[in-house]
Parts: sequence; structure tokens; C-alpha cells
Amino acid sequence: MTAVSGEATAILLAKGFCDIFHSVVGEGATIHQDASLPQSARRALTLLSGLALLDGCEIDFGANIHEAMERACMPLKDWGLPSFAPPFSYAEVTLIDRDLGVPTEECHELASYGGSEVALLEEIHHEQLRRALSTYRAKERSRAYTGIREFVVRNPVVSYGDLQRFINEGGHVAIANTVMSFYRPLPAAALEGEVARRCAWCGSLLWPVRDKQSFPEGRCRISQCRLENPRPRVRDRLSDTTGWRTATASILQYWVGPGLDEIRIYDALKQAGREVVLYPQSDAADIGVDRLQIGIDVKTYASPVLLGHKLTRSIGRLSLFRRKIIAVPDGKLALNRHYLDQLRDTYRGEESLEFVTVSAVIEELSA
Amino acid sequence: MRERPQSFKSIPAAHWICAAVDRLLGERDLANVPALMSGFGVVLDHPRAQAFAPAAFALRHLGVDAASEIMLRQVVHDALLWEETHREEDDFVEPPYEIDLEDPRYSFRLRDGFDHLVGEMVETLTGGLPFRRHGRDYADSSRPMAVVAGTAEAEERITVDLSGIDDPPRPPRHDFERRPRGAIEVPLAELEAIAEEMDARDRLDPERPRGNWASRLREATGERKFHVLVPNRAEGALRETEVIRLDGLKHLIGLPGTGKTTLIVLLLVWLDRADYRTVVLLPSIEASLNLLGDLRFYEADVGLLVGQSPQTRIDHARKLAERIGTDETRGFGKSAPGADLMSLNCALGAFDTDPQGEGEFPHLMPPCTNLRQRKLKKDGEPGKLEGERLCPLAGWCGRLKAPRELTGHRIWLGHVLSTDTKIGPHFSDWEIRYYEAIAMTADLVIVDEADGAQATLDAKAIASLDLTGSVESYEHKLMSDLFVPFSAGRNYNTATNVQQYITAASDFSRLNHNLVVLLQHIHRDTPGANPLDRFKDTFVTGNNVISALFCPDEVFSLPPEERVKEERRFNAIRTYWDACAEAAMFRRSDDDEDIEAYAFNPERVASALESDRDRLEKTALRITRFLRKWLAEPLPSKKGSILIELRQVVFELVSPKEELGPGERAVLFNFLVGATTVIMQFQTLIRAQQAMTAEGIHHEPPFRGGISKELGQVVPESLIGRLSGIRYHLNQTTARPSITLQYVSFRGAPRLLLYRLHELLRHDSLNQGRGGPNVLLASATSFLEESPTFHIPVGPDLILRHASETDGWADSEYHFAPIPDPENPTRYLRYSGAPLAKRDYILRKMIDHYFRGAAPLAVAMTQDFDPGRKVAFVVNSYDQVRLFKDHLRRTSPALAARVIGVTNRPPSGNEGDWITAAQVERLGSRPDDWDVLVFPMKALSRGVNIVFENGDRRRDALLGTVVFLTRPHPAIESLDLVAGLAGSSALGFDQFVLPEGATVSDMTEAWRAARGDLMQTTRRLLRYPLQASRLGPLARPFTGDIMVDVLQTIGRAMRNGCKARVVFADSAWAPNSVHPDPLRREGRTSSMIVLMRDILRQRMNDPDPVNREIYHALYDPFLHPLETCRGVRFPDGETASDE
Repeated sequence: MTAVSGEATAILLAKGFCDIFHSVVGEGATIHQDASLPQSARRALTLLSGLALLDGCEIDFGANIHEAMERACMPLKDWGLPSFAPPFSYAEVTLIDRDLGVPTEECHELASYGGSEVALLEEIHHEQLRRALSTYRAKERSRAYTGIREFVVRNPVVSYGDLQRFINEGGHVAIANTVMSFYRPLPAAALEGEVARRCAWCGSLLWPVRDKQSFPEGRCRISQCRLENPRPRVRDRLSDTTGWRTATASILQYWVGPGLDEIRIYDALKQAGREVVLYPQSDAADIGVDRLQIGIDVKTYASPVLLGHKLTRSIGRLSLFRRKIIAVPDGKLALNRHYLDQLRDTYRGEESLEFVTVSAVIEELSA
Repeated sequence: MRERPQSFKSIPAAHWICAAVDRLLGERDLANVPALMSGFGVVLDHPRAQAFAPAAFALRHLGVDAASEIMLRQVVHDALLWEETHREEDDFVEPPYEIDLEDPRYSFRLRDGFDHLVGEMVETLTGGLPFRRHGRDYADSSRPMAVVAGTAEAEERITVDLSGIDDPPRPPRHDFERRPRGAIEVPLAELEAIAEEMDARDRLDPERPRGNWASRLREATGERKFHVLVPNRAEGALRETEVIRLDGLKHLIGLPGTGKTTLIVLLLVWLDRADYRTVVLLPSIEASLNLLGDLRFYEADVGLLVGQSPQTRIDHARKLAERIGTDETRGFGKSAPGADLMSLNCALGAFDTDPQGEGEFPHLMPPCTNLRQRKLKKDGEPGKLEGERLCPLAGWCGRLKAPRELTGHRIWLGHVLSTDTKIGPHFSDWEIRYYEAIAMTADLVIVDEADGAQATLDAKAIASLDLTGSVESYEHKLMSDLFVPFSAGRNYNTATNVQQYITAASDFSRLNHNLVVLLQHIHRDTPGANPLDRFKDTFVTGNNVISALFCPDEVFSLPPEERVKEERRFNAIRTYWDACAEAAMFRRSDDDEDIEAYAFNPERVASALESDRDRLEKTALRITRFLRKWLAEPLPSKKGSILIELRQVVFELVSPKEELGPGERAVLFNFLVGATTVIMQFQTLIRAQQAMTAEGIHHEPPFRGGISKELGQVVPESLIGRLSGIRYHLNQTTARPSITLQYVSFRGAPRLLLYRLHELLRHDSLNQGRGGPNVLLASATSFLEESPTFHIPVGPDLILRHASETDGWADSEYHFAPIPDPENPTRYLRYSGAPLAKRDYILRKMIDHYFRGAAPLAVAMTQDFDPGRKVAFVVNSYDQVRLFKDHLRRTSPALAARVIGVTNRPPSGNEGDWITAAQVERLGSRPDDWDVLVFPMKALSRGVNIVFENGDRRRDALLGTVVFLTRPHPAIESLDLVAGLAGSSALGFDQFVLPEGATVSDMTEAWRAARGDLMQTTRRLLRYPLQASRLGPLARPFTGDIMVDVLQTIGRAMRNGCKARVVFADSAWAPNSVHPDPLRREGRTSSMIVLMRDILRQRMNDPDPVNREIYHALYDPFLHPLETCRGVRFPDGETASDE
């Protein structure tokens, strides 16, 4: 069953309303429920319906855009939806100004959180984890953060028993719900008949695809994994899938995908005997070597130009490290052999950054 | 849909018919079967045929089509084919009758030993057939289920997982046990008490505009504002009544503003409180939503009856959105009463297990009834086969709210076509449609604007199907359902009928291509005018083409003797050509030596064509031979040569029209061959579609679009039978124009639903005696005998009349005000009838007349007649509205923004000067930022009121002046008049009463005569594009239909008894009145204004005193200003302008 988050729904609604306002009303057109309704709004309505059903409401709040918009002229807490009632973070928010017929400031603000639904959910997960960890003592916070992220990246599909064991033995019982929310039961759409297959390279699921001739065993959905390993291979087959969980789509995309190279570097350097830490200082870098001596961030941007601009604006807390390395997956160079040159040319920041491939950083630092 | 008895599957339909006519009527042949199976009350309610009625009801519901000689022949041939096919099988049992195929009456004989079986068969038919149970289960929400989206060729599966949620409650079911309560009597005093209560309710909500219900009924002095009158036919007068009695079928009429709507609203609240079950059919779903909002406010128990197909829902939701988006916010943050009943988003999408997957959740075509899930086996394991399941959220989701809540509401509001909707399997165990549920359980059905509802139903008698040229076309369907599966390996079905279907289908494809290529070539080679232009977008039958090729243009203007001769010649050519074509098409490999098997009378044809019999026979054989060669020849070049030879043979016998050049003759002849062969082949194929559906070739019969099959089984068959032809459309929006071929056919007489709803199931043995709803047909313009489309020939039984004779409308004034041609001021602008190329120019000049200058006339008109009321410009089409606005934007930009155009597609960047028809009603509450409204006459649905919403003049007509810029005229391809004539003839025949002593054969004769009359009229109409000047005697019904729309349009400016000014601007309204010779006067048929006046005058002199009084009550407000219409030179010199 899909869990529907009140927070994500509220934000997506805000985003959907803003999209309607800009792309429909802004064009002088009328708001229709047909195919002209922006996809963001349609998805938000669907999630609203799901939330209403899960909350046991008698009314399907998301069936109709006009009804939803009219309701959105009231604060969320007054909708009659338990998920939006206090202490819900945005309970006081009103999304539409009834008199002016425009999205409120708060609506714009909410809409600016995250990009796609998946990105939004990742931010929510990250925020959830950060908030959950805030109950830990400062000293343990970083260790717990690292432990949880590492576990998830290494176990995108995990048995319920192993997950429980990790939570109990890792001392995460207090935040068990948060950790559990990163996973969901294996979706039926991912099964071939009754059987799930795990990817030999990254451990996530191999999903059935229409092109069975090319991919008889299904295909991994982690793009970084597919780039490095174009031919899918089955690690194992899970015939009784009820006791298994898979990371949610947003966790797979934002944590597991980029995490594959992070883990690869981490494992290689550790094996080489370096003093290495994953996600040091609560994610100041992806990998820290020799405490604050070397910080490595793995970046998987398709465009070196965009990555260069982004780094020019800010490198975040990577600046805490003396030597700062931006590592890009080797596959990026297979697609664009000038990737690193273009990245160097575009970067205009004041901090001194090194741009290398994942293999190169492993080779250099494990030597 | 009814349950099929087991035995029906193993005995051919013809034998069931034989059994019924044999045992119930004592007949020994099938000669009277077409009339008996047509479903007309005049036959089945007659004492001599009554015994057959339950069997006819059952047979028609079993899908036995024998309502014409052709259909009957097919049924009989099917039976014999069935015998031949199954005879060799081990378990073959001979069917009970032996039918003589050679006897044109199809005499039959009961075979020995079948007495008992026949008795059982007749008992089955007369015992009644129960509704079929659908047997659908809900999907198990504890297990994943699949949604299948996309087309059959590119299926997308989306897995939905509802485990973990509590199962929502199962939806409520309709209660079909409820029975109608019989006659209803409503004292007016009780309605007044209801009005007082509603006013009290209004006072509790000061924000809401008040209804002022009591003051709508009585003046401050206590006098009634309108009277309810009932005819006393014995006394020959209308009498006021204090009690409205609703018993059976009743017809209520009253002018706009006489209180019809008020009465209906009060009546509904009264009925609701008295626990009656009422269905109100309104002109549109938007009108239904308006009334729903009001009734909800007054706490009536009301729901919405609305079509449930995905496209219908999208269409209605779109109109609702347009109403919500009237203001500058475009509906942002707004909703409207009833929007909750028009939802399109599906809640299941939230439980998509892979929202980022390849398939997009089909919100607009959600899987309410076709979720896929495997059934659990006995051991609890899922089985292999997936079945279609109902959505388990149907008891909760917003999308199904309207049909779900309808199960419990006492008042149902909807559109007449909404009644022909299947009740969702979530809400009934039976396969049943809403009109059946209404006939079984409702106490009262009110049809508001019943004449409009009648026209809508008539239009549904016309069904159409794209033959080729679109993805919806039949040819495309044949590819996907037949050829692709067959070629991919599903070739195990070797039944003869399937083989035949495959062969016929590939022939159909070839013939389609041949015709399309011909049309493409013609349009490419002669890009300007070409001889086929007259057929583009119009209804084409072989008749039309024969007429264009061989007959004079103006047959009606010929002297009577010549006209009759020409008509005989035309009929002879048609019969002869069809017979040759049939011989060639359906006996491809024969080599005929004589014409014995040809379906024409050689003597008669020879005489009509002024030829001799021998020559006629030889030519027929040559034509057939060349046609067969043409059909068999694969090479296009050789085909072309054969066609040339064929043409020569035909033209040697029958000369084409002299004025046609050789190129035109060739094009028309090739088109005749192409159109004839496509139509014939299509008809062959379509006859087999039900069988092919049963064989599993098609998922559903491809040819639909008119009324549902079920409604077709309960209303009589159309008197014109299955009249059919094609249209072609050239799509030139792309660089390479494409052609779509479309088939159009008439089926059924759906208008009879209105007249039979109160006793719809009277021949259904299982429901006899349960009674039916009372039906009230209400309208303002439903009583005008000349109008075949709108006239309601029942009663009238209740008449609403203004109490005061001094209503404002008495000061109405009409003007014929033609516009001088600026290029030649001695002439006047004439739009209707002008050459196509000049029309836009003329329209622009007309617009200039009203909008040019420092003090534009259009603006002055808002002040010089009842100041403050607006001006309406009535045109014929949305295209003309666009031209109007575009021209103003260029020539008078300052004024353009104050002119509101009604459009079907608001342009992007619309700044409020474009509205859709659904938004028109909101004009009354709009700020005073406009002066003029431009709209096509037919665009605004009935019941749409354009009135002041606030202030002293609240509920008064907002439009004061109506300018008919062009003379209203249907499009030349319009089939409305044909549909109206077909509907009114069917109704006339249904209501006809035959003498008690009439035999069944007499009934057949009467049926044939009624058919013959209508066929003759219809053929005349279809032979020519619809043009007023070519209609001859049909000009009167033509005008009758148009004038109802004209009066409705003028009535918009007379709401609440207001006076109206009407301006007829096109000189075509009265062409003789602008003739330079001042002595030239209008004739009886030259001017539509004169025709309208004469029709009304004639009605005012109706011999029946009651009808006369009703006509006066209805049309006095129109007749007086028409008689004094300024500027018309009336033929009888009775008006002031003549002096």
C-alpha cells in the first residue's frame, strides 16, 4: 500500500495551484478538469483523495479541482481532514486568496519546496531524519545519520527482519518509524508473476519491462547502476515477497543512486587502510578522509555546465575540508569525454576544487 | 437488457416469430410481421393485434430485427442458413417450422411433433423476460489489482494496492420494487403555502438573492399574476382551475415569463415533501445544476441524472468549468453548486504502486467497472485467468457521487438523453437503463422545454460512423479487431460467417480506398470549384448523385405534368442502377444470361426511360458485366478504362444532364460508382456485426452513436426504416488534405419515449399492472402545428396565462430594416442566398452599418428603446461571431471590447469579451461594461435566461433589442428537418386509431402507406442540399421549425412580460419589399416574415375554439408586432407601412 503524506500532499497542492494559476489562468484560459489540467495539480488531487480515504473521511476531497480550490480558500486545518489538523506543520496555511482569486504568499512559499513529487519526498525524508535525530545527543547524531544512510544505500531491498534488527541493534528504536518510512512493501508492479528479482550490482529491484527480449530478467531503475552496468544481472529471486521491503522511489533516486559511488569510494579507501567516514558532520560531504583533511562529494549531474554554475554559487559545507574533491561517476565521461574540462571551465568559485572521476579518486587516495 | 432464454440460443429467431404469429394471431405467413414488429401503438394496442404485443416486446428485447421487409428477409435467410450449417451435426434438432422462401409472404408450416415445443416458446415470449443480471463482483481490496490504460495495441498496466485501508462501504442500490403512486392532485393553495415557506427560508440567508416566491404568484393587491387554465372541450373554452391534476400524459404550455419555471419549482418542493419520486428533464445539464442549487437550498432531496460515459462527463465538466470561470479570475478559488457531482479525478490513482512508472493513470477513463484481478481458487491461491471487477471505492469516491446518490434521492434532475444511460453495475444487480427505472418507479416525469427535448431525441435517431479516414473509423476497427489478430495467429475461428466477414471486410477496405483516391484526385486536380463540391459535408446517397447527373436542378418548378414525368424517370434510373449494382456486388462470379434475378420491373423502367425492353435488358447485363470486371480488376489503370466503358454504356441508355460538361459527367459518374459500392458493401458488413460480436471478433458492435440498442427496442422503429448514406469531409488544415468518409443512418423513433414513458412497459408481461409515471410535457413553443420538429400533438391540458392584459409585451415592435449597400445605395444588403464568396464581405458591411461613425447605431439602440437594456445580434454560426468580432476589433477597437461574442472556443488571452454559451446566464450579474451580445441562434440552450440579476428590474429581460443580422437558415447539410419530419410522422402513426374491425393486414397496409408518404418526402429532401428556395411544399414545415427558434430567441427579450424590439436586417427576410418598384409586394412564400405571420394567423383561426384560445394566449404577443412589422410590403396591404 502506498503511504500518502499530508506534508507532501499540501506542498503538491500548493504547487498544483501555482501551476494552474501561471499556466492556465495566466494564459487567459478557464480552469478545466480535462487533459488541460496541469499534471502537478492532478497528482496533488489524487493524493488528496488518498489522504481523505486513509483518514476515514466521508468526502473524497480530491475528486474535483473546483471543489478543492474553493476549500483551499480556508486554512488547511478547517478542511475537515484529520491529516491537516494541528499539530500538522502547515495547519494554519491558506493556499488561495478567495477575494483576489490568486495563490497566497504562503502557497507560493510552499510550492517552492522541492521540485518533482519524488524530489519533494526526498526533502521530506531528509527533514524527517534530521528532525528525528535532533533528539539524539550531539555526539551521536552524526554517527546515527551516517549509519542510517549507509544502511539504506547498501540495502535498497531488505527483509523486514533485517530492517528490524538494524533498528534494534543500531540503537534507532526511538526513530524506528522514520527509518521504516524510507521503505514500503514490494509493489506488485515490480513482480514477475509472484517473484521479485534483485539487481546483482546495487541490490534494488529489477522491474519487468515491456521489452522482454532485451531484458528478460527486468531492469534496474537506478540510473547510476544502469550506466555502470548496462546488462542487468539477477542477484537473487524472492519468491515470498510479503516479508520484504524496498526503499521508496525518492530514497532510491536521491540516496541510493548517488550513494552507489559514495559507497564504492568509501569501501575502497577503507580497504586501503585510510581513515574514512561516510557523510561526516551530518552530511557536510559524502565521504570524509582523515577527518577534515579531505572532503569528497560525488555529483551525478548530467550537465557539467549546470554543475559548474551550482558549485560556483555554493559548495555548501564541503568548504569545511582542507582539500575539496568533486568526483563524477566514470560513466559520465563515457557519455561526454570533455565532462571534466567543461566543469573546470565553468566553475568560477573562490574555493579551490578538484574535479576527478570516481575511479581516479579511488586510485589516488588508496595508493 | 433482458435475460435470453436458454432455448432462444438453439432455435433461430424466425421460428420464434412464426410461433408467435401462429399461436397468438392465427396467421400462417410472415407478411404482417414487419408492421407487427415495428413497435407502433396503433398496431400493438389494437384489439386484433393486442395478443401479439407481449411477444413483440419480448422479441424486440431479444434483438430480433424484423421491422421491415428487408430485415425480415434477413431473419428468414439466417434461419435457413443456420439449418444448412448445423444439419450435419450429431445433436442437430430440426427447428419447428418449415418456411417457404419462394413465397413472397413467407408462408410457413408446423412440422410434426413440435406442438409442445411451440407452446413452450410462446409461453416464454408472453410470460415476460426478466432483466439480465450482470453478475459482476467487486475487486478484493486486500490484494493488488490492475488498471489497464491505453489502447488494445499498446496496453499499459498500472498496479493498484488498496491493502491497509478499511474497505469503504458498498454503494447503495436502486429500489426497483417501488411502484408509481398513480394520479397526483396539487391544490394551488398548497403551492402558495410552499412559496411562503420558501420566502421565510430566504429571509434566513440575507446574502443570497431572494426568490420572492409568493410575490411571483400574486400581486400586492392579492390578485393572481397568472392563471392556470384547463380546457373544457365540451364548452369550447379554457377554465381556471385551483387544482393541478397530473394523470397520465399531460401537456402544459405557457409563454416565457408566465410563471412556468416558478410553478415547476414550487411543484417540486411540494412533491418532495409529499414523498413523491419525480424526474425533471431539463434542456441541459447546466440548467439542471442551476435548479439543483436552488432546490438544495430549500432542502429538497435532489440528485443529478447525468450520462456516465467518459466523453459525456468531460463535456459536462467542461461546461461547468466555463460557468465557474466567468469572471477575470477564470474560476481560480471558485466552485459552483453541483460541482461535487461533476468530478473527474479518480481516487484509485493515489494507490498506484508505481506512480513514476511508464503508464499514466487514466483519470479521464478510470477503471470503475473494469479493474483486472485474478479470482482466488478454492485453495486460496489466485487463479490463472484475470476477470474484470468493479472498483471497491465506488461506495465512497467523488467521481461516482452523482449516480451513487441518485439511488436515494426523491428528485432527479437531468437531460432527456441522460435517461438513455445504463445504471452502473455498482448500483444495480440488473442490466437496466435509467428510462426503464423511471418507467418502473417514478411518480412524475416533468419534461421542461419539451419541444426542445423532442428535437434532441429526433436528432438521436440519426446515427453515424466514420467509414475510413480516422482512428475511430470502421475500417480501422476492422484492422485492429479482425485483420491484425488473424494475421498474428488468432486464425482458429473458421466459421463460415467469420470467413464471409473477412472477405467482405477486405472488399470494403478496397472500395473505401477507391472512393477516397477518387475524391483526392478530384480535389487535387480541380482545386477551385468542382462538380462534387455540392456533396462535400452533405448527406450523399446514390439518389443525390443520380439526381445531379441525370435530372434537372429545379424539378419542383417544372409544370406538374413534366415534374411527374421527371420523378418517374428518376425513380426508374435509381431502381435500375441499384438492381444492376446489387447483381454485380452480391453475385460476383455469376454470368447472367437474362435479368430474371434483377430487382426491377422492366416494363415500368422501360416506359419511364422511354426505351424498349430488349435494349434495357441487354444494357443491364452489360452494366453488370462491366461492374463485375471493375470490382475484380486490381490494376488502377485498367480499372479506369473499365469505368470509361461502363460510363459509355450507361449514358447510351440514359442521357446525363445537358448542361454538364464531359469532365463533370465523368466525375459524377465515377462518384456514383464509388458511393454506391461503398454503401452497399457497408450495409452487408454491418448486418453481420451483432453476429461478429457474438463470435468475439468485436468487443462491441462498431456501429452506434444514435440511441442505445435498448432504447431502440422499446420505441418504435423509424418509419423510414434504415435510410442510409454517406458524407465525405475534406480536411484541409494540413498541407496534405485528408478525406474522411462517414456513414449516416436513421434508426428508431426516440421522440416516442416522451409520449410512451407513462406506459412504457405496458407490453412487458413481468411489469404489467405496476402502472407508470405521470408525464408532464412543459414548454412555451410546443404548440405550433406547422412545425414537425417542435409541435407536441397532445392536449394541451394545462395553460398558464398572464392575469393582466396590459403586459409590457403589448408595446413590442418589429422592424424590417434592410441596410443599403454602400457601393450601390439603390440596393440593399442581402446575406442569405448570396454567393458564398461574397457573404463575408456583406456581413462586414452590415456590421459597419451598426458600428461605424461618431454615434454608432448599435450603442444608440441601448438608449432609444427601454433604456438600459442591451442589444442582441443574432447570426447563424460561431464562425460568423468570430468574423463579427474580428472585424470590429480592426474597425472600431474602442467599441469591440463592449461587444461580447458567444463562442465555442474562447481565444487565448480572452479579456472577457468572449464567453461560451454556458456563461451567458451570468451576464445579468456582470458589471455594466458591455452593450452588445452576438450569438448564433441555436447556440443558447432553452431555459437560459438573460435577465437583470439585481436592482429594480430584477428578473426582467436584459436584452431589449434583437437584431437578426442574417436570416436564420440551417446548414445545407442539416438533417434536422428530415429528423423532425420522420419523428412527427412516426408519432402521427403511433397515435392514429384504426377502426375496431381492422384486420392485421389492414394494419400492414396503414403502416406501408405511412412509410410510403414519409419516404417520398424524405427522398425529396435528401436529393437536394437544404435550401429554402428549393423546398416547394416543404417550405411551410421548414418555416414552422425555424420560426419556433426565432420566437424562442425573441422570447429572450420578453422575460417577465417585457416589451421587445426586433429588427430584421437581412433583405432576404422580405426581398420584394426592397424592390425599386414601390408597387412590388411580397408573395405568400417570398418572405419568411410573411410566412411566419400567415402561419400564426391561420393558427389563430383554428376551427377548435379551445385550440384557438390557446394559440391566442401563446402567440398574440408575437402576431401583433409581426402584422405591423414596419418596412414589409405585405401581400394583402393590411399594414400601416403599405399605406
